[in-house]
Amino acid sequence: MKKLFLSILLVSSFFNVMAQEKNIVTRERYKLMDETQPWRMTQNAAGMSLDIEKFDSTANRGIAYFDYTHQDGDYHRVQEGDMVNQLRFFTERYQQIGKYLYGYGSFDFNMGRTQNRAWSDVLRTYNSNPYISGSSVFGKYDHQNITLQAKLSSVQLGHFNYGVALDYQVGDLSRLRDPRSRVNLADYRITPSIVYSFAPDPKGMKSGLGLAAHYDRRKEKIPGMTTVQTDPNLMYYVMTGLENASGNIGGYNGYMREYVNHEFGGEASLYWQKTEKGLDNTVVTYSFDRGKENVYGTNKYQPGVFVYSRWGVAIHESESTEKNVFTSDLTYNYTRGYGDEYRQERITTIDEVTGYTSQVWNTTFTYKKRYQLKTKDFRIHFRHSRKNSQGIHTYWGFNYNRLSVMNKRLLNTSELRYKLYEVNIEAGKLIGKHLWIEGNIGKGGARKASNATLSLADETTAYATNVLIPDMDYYQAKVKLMGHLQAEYQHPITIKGQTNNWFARVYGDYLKTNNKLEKYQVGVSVGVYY
Amino acid sequence: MRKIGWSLTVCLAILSLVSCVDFDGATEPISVKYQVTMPEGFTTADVANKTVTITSNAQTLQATTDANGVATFEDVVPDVYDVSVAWKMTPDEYSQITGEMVQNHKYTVAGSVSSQLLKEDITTPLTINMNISVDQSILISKIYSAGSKDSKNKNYLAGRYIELYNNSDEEVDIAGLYLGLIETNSTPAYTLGLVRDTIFMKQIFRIPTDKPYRMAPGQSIIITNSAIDHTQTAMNAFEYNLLESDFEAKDKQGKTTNNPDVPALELIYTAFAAISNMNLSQGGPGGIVIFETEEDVSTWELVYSYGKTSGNKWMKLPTKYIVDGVDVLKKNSAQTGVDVNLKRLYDYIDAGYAYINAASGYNGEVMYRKVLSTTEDGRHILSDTNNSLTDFAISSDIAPREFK
Repeated sequence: MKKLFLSILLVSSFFNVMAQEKNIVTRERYKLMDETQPWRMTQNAAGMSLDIEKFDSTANRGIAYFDYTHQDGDYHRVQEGDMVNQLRFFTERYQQIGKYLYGYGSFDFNMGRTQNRAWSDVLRTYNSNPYISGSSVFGKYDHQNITLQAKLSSVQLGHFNYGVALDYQVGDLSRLRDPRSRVNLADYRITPSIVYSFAPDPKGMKSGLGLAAHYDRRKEKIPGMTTVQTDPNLMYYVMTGLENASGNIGGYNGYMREYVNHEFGGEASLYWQKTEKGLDNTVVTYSFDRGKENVYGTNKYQPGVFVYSRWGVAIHESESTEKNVFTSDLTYNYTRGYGDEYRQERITTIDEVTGYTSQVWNTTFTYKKRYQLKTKDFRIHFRHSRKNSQGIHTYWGFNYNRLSVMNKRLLNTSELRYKLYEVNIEAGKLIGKHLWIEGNIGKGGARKASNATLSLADETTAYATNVLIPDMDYYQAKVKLMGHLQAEYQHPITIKGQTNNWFARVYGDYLKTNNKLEKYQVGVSVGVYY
Repeated sequence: MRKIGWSLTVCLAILSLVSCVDFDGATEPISVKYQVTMPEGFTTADVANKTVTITSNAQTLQATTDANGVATFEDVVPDVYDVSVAWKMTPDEYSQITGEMVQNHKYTVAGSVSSQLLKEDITTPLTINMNISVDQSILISKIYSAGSKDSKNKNYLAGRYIELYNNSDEEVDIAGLYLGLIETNSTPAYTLGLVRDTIFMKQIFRIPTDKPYRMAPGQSIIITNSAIDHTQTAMNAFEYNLLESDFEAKDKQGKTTNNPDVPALELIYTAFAAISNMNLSQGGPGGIVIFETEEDVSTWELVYSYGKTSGNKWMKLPTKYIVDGVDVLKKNSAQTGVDVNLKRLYDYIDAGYAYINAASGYNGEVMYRKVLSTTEDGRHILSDTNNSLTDFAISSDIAPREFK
């Protein structure tokens, strides 16, 4: 594992060392390449080289920046906490490697602190494995995450492009108040891929088929808990879906939990590409993932297992003329999952000769599909950008997102349903040579309060009264206004003979709902395009 | 645009295939039937209109028996259930059924099934075998073993006690009554049933025999390790003034403050040479029994744990001498709960178990026997179905000699 980690780190940083070109990468050029490269939004690394008009150094670009954000407000769910301060370092690089390879690497590190979070000591609280745990006492949580990604794509060899992607993430979430949990995460994924291109038709239209398959292993572990004080009435809760949470005084003593997820998946894609009079790129993908997550406690106790399937369809199109770029993206993801809940008994045996005691957990009954999950996530994005020889200098567009969720638990039946949407218009303009002003404005949340419903078998449980019922304010809120505004100033700076485009960015977001909830975020970034 | 239209058509076609959500095969509720079965000689007893209770971690359901003694439960969530049913039988009813002349005792007809997995529809009723027992006079009415945290947040164990109660309508002399603490290893010294009709004790005490110690009907006695005013030393909401305790297990090591004015509980046996007072277990396990015998208990056999040849020795106690017993188990993490495989008492002594909510104790919780009814003169009759799950409850604000 350590070798894998180091390999990915080396591959990622390799691209960063190669930034020696004379052409300075600007935000305009970066945007242009982002808008005209649809394959980068798919799982298929092999298609990356198909995105490149000319396979030379002009295809190279990268960005690196530090970012600090402060977020606060009361438009949030109980288990999310309110105030968040986060520091982030991000770098990515697209790089031609020799004559035959095109690569991509990224490194993302973030660390931060969330205030006033409770009832969840795991990294994925929502719409995922229901067998989570947490304390009812609000406290601070610190997080640290490192995500590495490396992709390689070959030039077209015969009819084929070959590719592979490696993703690796490690994370840590620490609770800073009794009972003090610490979550460790290790998640890696490997995705080999291939694209077959047909011969261009008489009009010069290229097309082809792509295929990518992946295996993802994710392990999240709470190895144990510590306390600084000795509060005899301190409770700890374990959840089995919706309002069902059992609290036990001192339940954190000897508590451990491990989530081990194995996921297989694949993506099939079709593409069309025309390079006459500009670049016209369309990629249609269909993806399917299937995962199974086992949950283990002390002595391999298992509360249950979570199984899910995810289907996805996406269309990415980019049409580029001499002065305009039109991009449109449509994605639809549908997830269905269920949790089997186990009823186990501990079997204790004492060896007749040695007196040693052995304990195993035996599953006496399985509640099949007791927890059920469905999510539907639909997104559509359109953007019209104006460009010149330097890149994109102006754009406008719109976004529409819609999320529909159902959580259900049987015996006895409880259900949570909500629908959230977001619609906004966006625009950005380069003023002069250095200053970018960008923003978007829109609305969203619940279209109407009745779009979010909560029906519980027992509304008196601690989890129901402290988490689920208060969260309905969030799900039923209509976002009357949401906006984002940012200003970025870029300027070439030469350091030791190397000239790159450095930038400083400030931004802010604001959101307000009809029920007086609001949220804001401010941030500042300093970085470089290279 | 043509290709976009073609793409969308393909996409929609695919979507239509996958939009059929399937959660088939999910577990459904079941129906269950229980048959109350009287023992031989009592088969003519009226078993209609008796309340059968089934209890799991998640729910408690009750149903009334029909004329044949069958109780039917619908929409039962499959789970592990404890089943219990009990009612009182008067001496006249007893005589009518058996044809025997009996003393003027009341009887408890009780039956229970512990930890029964109900996972599918039960069409042939499951059997609850009923037992008939004479209502015991002296019962264990409270066990305060948890301890608490004092005003400085330090562990406070001195104020713990056991309370006995005269549940009958006659005066009882308890001189010579034995109090036993069952061994509290993390796993039982002997799995229940390994040595038939025997349990294993870590300590045995005895009410002194120097004179009669009479308990009036409805009277309770307090047995403690430290008969002082704990409200002054602990200064919290959980400890009480135990100056009026009836017996005190003296600490020969001098670590616990004793009250010379309170009679000493006689120590008959202790497995721990350095512990002469009651070694109550804060979070459990920690079963308690009271028993009577004419034998010399100090000569009873001592044994090591099963398979061991060294370590602590436990005194073997034949269950035939037991007057009352409460099986106290430890409640582990919320989801695993109480492990009933660690029970030390047979079902005919305690078909259930008592527990406190804190796995490690120190939360001031008292396990107390609930009041079943109150006579016209105000005397409480406590619940005694030989099932602590039914008979006992937990409270952190119930005082010694208080009943609810």
